[in-house]
Amino acid sequence: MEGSGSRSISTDVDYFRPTVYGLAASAVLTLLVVVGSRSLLHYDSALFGYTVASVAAFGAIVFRYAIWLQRPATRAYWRRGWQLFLDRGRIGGNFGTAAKTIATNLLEQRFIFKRSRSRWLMHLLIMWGCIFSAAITFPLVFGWIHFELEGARGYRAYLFGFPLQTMDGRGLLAWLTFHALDFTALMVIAGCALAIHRRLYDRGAIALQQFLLDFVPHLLLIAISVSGLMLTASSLWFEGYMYSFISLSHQALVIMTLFFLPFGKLFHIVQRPASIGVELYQQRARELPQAKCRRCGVEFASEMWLGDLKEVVDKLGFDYTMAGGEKLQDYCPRCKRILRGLAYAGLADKTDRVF
Amino acid sequence: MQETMFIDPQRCIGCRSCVAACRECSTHKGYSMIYVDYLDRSETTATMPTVCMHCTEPTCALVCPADAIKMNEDGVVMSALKPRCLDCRNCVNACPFGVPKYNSEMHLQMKCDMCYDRTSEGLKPMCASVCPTGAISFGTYEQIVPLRRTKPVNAHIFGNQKVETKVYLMLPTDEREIRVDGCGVFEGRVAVDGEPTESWIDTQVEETDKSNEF
Amino acid sequence: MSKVENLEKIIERFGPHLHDAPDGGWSAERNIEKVVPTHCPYCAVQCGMNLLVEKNKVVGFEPRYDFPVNEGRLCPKGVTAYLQTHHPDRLLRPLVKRQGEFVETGWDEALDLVAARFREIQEKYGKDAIGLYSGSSLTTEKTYLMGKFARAGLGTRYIDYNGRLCMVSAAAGNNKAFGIDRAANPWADIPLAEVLVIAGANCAETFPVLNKFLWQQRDNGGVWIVVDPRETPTARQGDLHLQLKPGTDVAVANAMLHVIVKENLIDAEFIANSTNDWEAARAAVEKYPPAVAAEISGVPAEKIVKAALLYGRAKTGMVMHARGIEHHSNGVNNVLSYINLVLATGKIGAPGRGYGTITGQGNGQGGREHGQKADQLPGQRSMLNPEHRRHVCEVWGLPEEELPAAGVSVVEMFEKMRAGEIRGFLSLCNNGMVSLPDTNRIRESLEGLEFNVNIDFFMSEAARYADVVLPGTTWAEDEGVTANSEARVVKINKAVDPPGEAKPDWWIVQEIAKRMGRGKYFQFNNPREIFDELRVASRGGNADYYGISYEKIERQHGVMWPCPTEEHTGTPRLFEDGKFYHPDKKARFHAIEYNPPAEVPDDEFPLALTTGRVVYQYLSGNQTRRIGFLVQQCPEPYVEIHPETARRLKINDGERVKVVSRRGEGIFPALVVRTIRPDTIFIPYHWGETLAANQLTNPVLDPTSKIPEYKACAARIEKIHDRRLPILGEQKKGLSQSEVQRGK
Repeated sequence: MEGSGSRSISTDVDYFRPTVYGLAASAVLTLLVVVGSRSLLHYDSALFGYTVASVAAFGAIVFRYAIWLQRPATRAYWRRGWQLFLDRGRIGGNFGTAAKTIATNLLEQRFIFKRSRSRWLMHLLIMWGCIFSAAITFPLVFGWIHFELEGARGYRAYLFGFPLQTMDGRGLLAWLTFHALDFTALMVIAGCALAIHRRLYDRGAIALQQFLLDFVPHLLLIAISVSGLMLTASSLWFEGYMYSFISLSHQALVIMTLFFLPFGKLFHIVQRPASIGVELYQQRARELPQAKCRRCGVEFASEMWLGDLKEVVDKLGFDYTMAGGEKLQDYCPRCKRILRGLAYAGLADKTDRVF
Repeated sequence: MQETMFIDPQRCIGCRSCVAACRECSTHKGYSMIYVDYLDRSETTATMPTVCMHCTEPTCALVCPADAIKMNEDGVVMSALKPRCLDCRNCVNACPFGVPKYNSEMHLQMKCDMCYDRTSEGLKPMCASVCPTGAISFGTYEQIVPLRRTKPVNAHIFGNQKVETKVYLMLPTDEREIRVDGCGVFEGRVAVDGEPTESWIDTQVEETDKSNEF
Repeated sequence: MSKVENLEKIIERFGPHLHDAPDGGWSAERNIEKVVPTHCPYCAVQCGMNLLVEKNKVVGFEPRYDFPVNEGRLCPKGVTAYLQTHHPDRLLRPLVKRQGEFVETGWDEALDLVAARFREIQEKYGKDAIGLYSGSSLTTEKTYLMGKFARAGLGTRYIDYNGRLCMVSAAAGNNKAFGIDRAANPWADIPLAEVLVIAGANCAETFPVLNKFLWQQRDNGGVWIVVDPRETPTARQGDLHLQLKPGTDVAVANAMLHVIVKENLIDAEFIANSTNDWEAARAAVEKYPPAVAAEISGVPAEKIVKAALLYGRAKTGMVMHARGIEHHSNGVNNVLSYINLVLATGKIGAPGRGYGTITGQGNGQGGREHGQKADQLPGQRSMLNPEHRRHVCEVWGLPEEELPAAGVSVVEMFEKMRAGEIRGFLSLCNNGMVSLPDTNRIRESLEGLEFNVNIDFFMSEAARYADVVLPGTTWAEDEGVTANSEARVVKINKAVDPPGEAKPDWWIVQEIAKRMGRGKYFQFNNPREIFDELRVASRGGNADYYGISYEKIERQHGVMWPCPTEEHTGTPRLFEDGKFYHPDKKARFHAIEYNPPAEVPDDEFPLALTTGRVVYQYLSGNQTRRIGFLVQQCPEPYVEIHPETARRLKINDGERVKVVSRRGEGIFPALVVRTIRPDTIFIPYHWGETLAANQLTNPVLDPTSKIPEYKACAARIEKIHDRRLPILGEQKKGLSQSEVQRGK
């Protein structure tokens, strides 16, 4: 929905601090690249383009995240979330809750399963495909991982310059390691194919989707995966035919995607973990005293939540104060509908009564 | 002038045809996003149909921490973007009209998007198509005014807050807005034995209210 | 003997089960192969709708904006109608009851059994020992075929149809007053009327889409006068509500005419030129000044005067009524007293000036035209008229002496079953265990049968008592015509093939006839062939279909009969030339005296019980009580009680109470509402067995129309200290939409 044509709904934004945070983040990442590659000793200069793009994209994401946190509602959740999390007597339990939420929400993604099974499978393939790919490529790009030949066919992996175990270069493990990106590419292609199929046949999706927001990310991911597979194919079976061209295209596609991250659909990747905080917030809210609807007496939200919400609503410049001093939000949703109906019923009709 | 919805509660016969038909909308297939509430069944058969009014400054969108609720170029406030919605339910309780629905298992908010699948193809929304009486209509302001004795307004005043909407409410008076305030009781209600209680047919028996869940 | 021995098992196997999603679940990923324009299977508005077909399954609907009656509008029943077609409760193979259990068989076996048993019964007890009970939700082709099947197939005189429980008082009244049984005006006239008198019609809940016209009239500045014991949504929205005691319509209508005469608002010229018997009617209403009527009906005299002046002074106006005034032992008189108003003011036969009953069933009009009524032959001809008999016998090629005499009404038929005169029974498209009055007596009648056959697509409450149940088709699986309440003949189109081995009703009936050696009268290969014979059979009758064709219906969005020639485009409005259908071309007044309902409240049964419908259920509920959405809105019957009465009886809102009448009793949750009269209670009737409102109702009949008195009997309420909550409240106990859908 966002992008060119849409009207943005936002309050005044402070760009200064997010810029500082963004630059700082980029600087930190640069520093880590230098440190992790042992002063660029293990750094592959061929990957310089990737590195620059990654550093820039990381800064941009942090910038975007900081902007996002300026939304009054987001800030309220952020602050209250951390406050609840760090509550002394509860921190142990909170870790447990957070772990559970991470497992069900972020790893298993049960909520997507509940939305639709095929979407869950689609998302699982894309997500894990991307996560594994990123987990492999970024450390390689930053020089955080490198391999050294040890003996006739042994390889030793180094992480941040520290040696890890060796493996047999022709063994299964090595084969899996060296081809890991091919498998993740296949996962991503399958997931994107499912997604695109849905976008072509689901009437709801067709109505809502926009090319730039909903198709381009999938097309980019497919393009990255296919060009990656082509690299493998070129080196394995075609003696490096067109390798450098494919490699350059691959790099261009990856960089485009990295710059796409802070905007549009892909931002949810960094945004989603916030659900851990929301979940914690709501769990605590359930244990705290509940607010009763002013009209029907139903317990419909916790007092803490409603208090936070009313504050946010005020901060946004609304004034829903009613004649009796209460806020409109002190009524449950159903009573708000009925209040409106009763107000309508109370109108004097031009000719006769309304109801 | 743009096409929009016109709600004329006076005509509502409480048949919930709109509620059933709403499930046919492709953007939330199988789930109804519309409400028909009795005002006070003990006293009257009057019912209030509620669809999303599509505020010009949507409170729901502004209180969304995930920035998931967007307005499209026609001023239609859409359901939360699926990848973003965190199921915090701020929108559910902030909306002055009591409209958004949520489902915690799905981590999802959904609401009336004026049948975007239909309106984007030039078709009328489902509810406005099937409504037997015209309590929910779809068309332009210019089309509706000559047809009705009631007058369309698109401003509500909740307490001190004026809320302007894309959707119109048909008023039987000449006022330019409708004022909603305080704890409502149906006019002419005779309280028996103290507090007026709601009929079982229009209230929940238990203390939980799940009418805003899908 | 056709008893139900294991009710729970039958319910477990055949439902009603709730089903609430299209085939394959709710999905926006559909590849719609066909869009079939047709009409709603339910009420007599016959709203147009498009069915969406995917892989031979109806998977949704699309509003049919181009059909002029509803322009896309539908009520909640119409919106969910398509969910019936693939419902898991559908009967897919013939069922034969063996040792009290239904066993699936093949068609040949089942049909042979039916034919053999019918033949055996007829040989033993005579031709008339078989009774046929048909319905008005069938297409007109099928209703025609049922009449022919009784007379030419089985040779029995006993056939009747469930329109007998519907609007037959209106039919009788219309015939008496106008010489024809049809709504006089098209609905397009409604917006043109300054004043509408809506008597005993809860249009909001029973004909929701009709409200389109009502509100158009309102938008034009029109006024509604609503006569109803309850403040229904229609009464609430109206301008003047005459909230009368059930069954006192004659007093109110006579008093209105009294005022109109006194104020000289009559149309003397029309009365003189176009009517008979005015003096008698005038003399009769003389005795009903508003004060007297107020005493009888409980409606304040000034309201009656106001209503009379509003209607009398208006240049244009229409009187419409429905079951509220028709379901009475004085049903025909109620109708005639309102028709007197119409004739006295001459408000008939012109745009915005008219009259009509609002038929209830989908084909309530078509179903009472072509011979499935006890005394009727095709084209609204009479069994008693030798000329009519000759005409129909000629069309059928049936020797005249083989055509049986006229039969009796359905309630009387059930009495004959109890008396052992009728031993074999075939019913199609009805559910007497819900819809007939005095359920316990009906059960005895069914249980006493030697052989009982039921054709239906769901196992209805009545079908449970059958020995053989044959699976028929829903409206989406067959084609044919129906006539809506304004006598607009419309075309039902086939969308999908029947599921399993289900067969169209016309095929089933013909197969039985063939097996009984009467095949030569039943050689139809499709509904169109039946329609073609019907056209010829109806030719020259009042309901003349001769000029109607399937193609003309599609082209014109319906054809209103009479349509005597192929060039004729139909007759939307009757009596435009001031000519009526009696031999002297004049309409007739009737002098009507008020008579109370057969049973009035007394010390033992101090409340008047009236019954009716809710918007979410259709008639006997066999179709709608299986649709999840509809059942969630109204899962069980309740009893409406006024708060004063409730306080006197110490009854709380939502508390289950026992309602007792002289015939039976039932337990219902109390809905305490100020919208009903303190001396009256109301129960919706759509449920069967222990939930049936008709356990309580009085089976007394109107002497002319033989309609039962559903709308007024005496009852009392007993407190039983039942702690169970109403189901609706229980359901709402914290269940969200998706939880309800998953059946949590």
